Amino acid sequence: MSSTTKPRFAAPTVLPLDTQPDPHQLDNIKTQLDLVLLALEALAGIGSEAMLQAASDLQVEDLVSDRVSLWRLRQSNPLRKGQGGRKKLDVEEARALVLICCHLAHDQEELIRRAVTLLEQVAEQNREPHHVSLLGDYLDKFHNTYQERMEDSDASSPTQLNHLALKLLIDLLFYSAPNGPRRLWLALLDRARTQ
Amino acid sequence: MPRSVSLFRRYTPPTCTLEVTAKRSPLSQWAAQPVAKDIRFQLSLDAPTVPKDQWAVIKGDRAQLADLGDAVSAYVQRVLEDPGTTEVEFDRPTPHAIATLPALATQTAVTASNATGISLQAQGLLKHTIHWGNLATAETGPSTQLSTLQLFDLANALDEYATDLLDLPELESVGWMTKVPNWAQVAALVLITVGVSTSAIRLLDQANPSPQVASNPSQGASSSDQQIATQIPPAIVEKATPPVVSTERLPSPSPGITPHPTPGKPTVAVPTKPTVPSTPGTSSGPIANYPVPITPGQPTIIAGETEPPAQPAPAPPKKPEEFGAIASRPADAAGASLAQPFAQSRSSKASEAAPKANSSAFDTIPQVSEVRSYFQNRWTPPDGLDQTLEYSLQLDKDGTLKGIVPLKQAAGDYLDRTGMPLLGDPFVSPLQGRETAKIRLVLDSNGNVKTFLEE
Repeated sequence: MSSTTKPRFAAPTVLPLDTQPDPHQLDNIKTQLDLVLLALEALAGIGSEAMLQAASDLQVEDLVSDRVSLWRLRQSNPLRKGQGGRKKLDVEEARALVLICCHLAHDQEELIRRAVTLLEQVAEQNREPHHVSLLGDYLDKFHNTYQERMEDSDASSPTQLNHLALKLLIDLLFYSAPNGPRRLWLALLDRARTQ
Repeated sequence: MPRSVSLFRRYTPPTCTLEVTAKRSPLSQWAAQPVAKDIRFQLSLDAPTVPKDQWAVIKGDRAQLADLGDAVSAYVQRVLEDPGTTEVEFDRPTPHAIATLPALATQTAVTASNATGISLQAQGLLKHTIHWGNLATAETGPSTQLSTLQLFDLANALDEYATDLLDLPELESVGWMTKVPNWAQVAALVLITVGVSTSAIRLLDQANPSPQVASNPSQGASSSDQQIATQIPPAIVEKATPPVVSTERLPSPSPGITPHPTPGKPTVAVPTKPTVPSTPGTSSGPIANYPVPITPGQPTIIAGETEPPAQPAPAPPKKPEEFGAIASRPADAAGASLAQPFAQSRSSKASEAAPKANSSAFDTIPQVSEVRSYFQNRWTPPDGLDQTLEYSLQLDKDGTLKGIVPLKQAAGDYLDRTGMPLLGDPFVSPLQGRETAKIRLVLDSNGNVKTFLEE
């Protein structure tokens, strides 16, 4: 029986947009996308090279063409320290970042799944996640990178950042699935609407 | 020649197995995607970390599967949209132990019940409770706790199914279609268009966070019109079906016996999209040493050895004709033989065919020749087939088909081209003096059909 081969990821057309987000909503979207990428960086050591390669694989390199444009897109997160290079993120760029996030999450699916498995195990055993090297490393890197880059890092306690990091890890699991882009896109829009 | 063939889909993410059986409607000829009907499903939450005797097994019909898909999808979306994702102002005290991490905000952590009564609720970051509604059985109880990985796998299996149904490979055109008057094609096309459009809308709605899900009891019905052209809306089904009183009973199934493929024991897995085998995760410390398969199950088409229901299915109050009523409307208009309900059609054809059958020395029971006649009337070798297809068919006492075992890979590949009846459909005359029979069916690429009794 023949079967069709599905594209690895859905085309941007499946990332619908009912109404154009207002600037405040776009700010929220920028923040969330930057944090998802930060979680990927912390967990899998993904750098800008891999992100640009993903943009190329997804044929969105006209939106994310080089390190500078990627840095400016991520710098558009209003939580970021410094204003230099901040640019306005438009919807198409947000879509491109969604695809890139999920492409990278899909590439790291095994690692993400293992991390969540470990998280479930330590939770069952009522142990701290730091006791497991993969989770401990992830949390440390997340903390360090967050504090290095974000304005409000001083106001966030380690416990709060842990919570954020673990929540992002679980979210990454769902974004690593074939319909991850759609899940992330809808989550972004809904979060932007409700905030 | 009208043909309605069985569809089997099996989705096997690491912690659950979703098996779907359906009939492919002849109306698929007019649709961009094949249209399935009479969908039944079985979901086994068979995580390797959970003791086997605690595996929950859920069975139900299309509307319930759609409701389950809607509920899980909406819940996952709520989980992802929970402010915990990105909110940097932490306003909740967070205990150190993850096991007691605060639940996701309660106002967003619950997806509310739909027509089937399925709902999910978060218990911290890592635990989720699914309330089965009227899918609950005595074994499952009203609810089951899922880990995040189980929720993830379940959501993926349901998503795969929803996508796969629309992505089913197209059937080859058959001759009778061209004889249908143009106006009938137009009428059917309109119905298909409505169906496909509605299913597209449903897909959009499915993933779209919709707080109204909670308060709208008709959600289940309105969102499950995926096969509107061939399916009776759940509302009508509900009217035709007495309310299910006992939680031990499933709602009335479609005519025939619900297939119960043995979980984990597919006799043949057709590797057109092979199930990805579990791969051991890289060990990361002593507690990470059990396999961590990573790829969500690719749909695998299987023909599983089937077993009779553990307990008799509730007597279906719906006659086959009732089920066929809506499905056959376009065909009525078309004047095609499609108008006949499948079961009725098969039944009559089988009985007509029987007397005409050529007997052979191997026809130790009449059903052997009846099966041969049945396929002699239907078997047209597809282009490109250059080998013999063999199936082991298990008959139930009442002459219905109880199991299909394709004996080679090609037999599995071409199962949907053989005109094979659905499990449980009237097929041949009732067996005399024996409970079951196993008949070998050999379909030659030159069009010949052979049958003989196996046991």
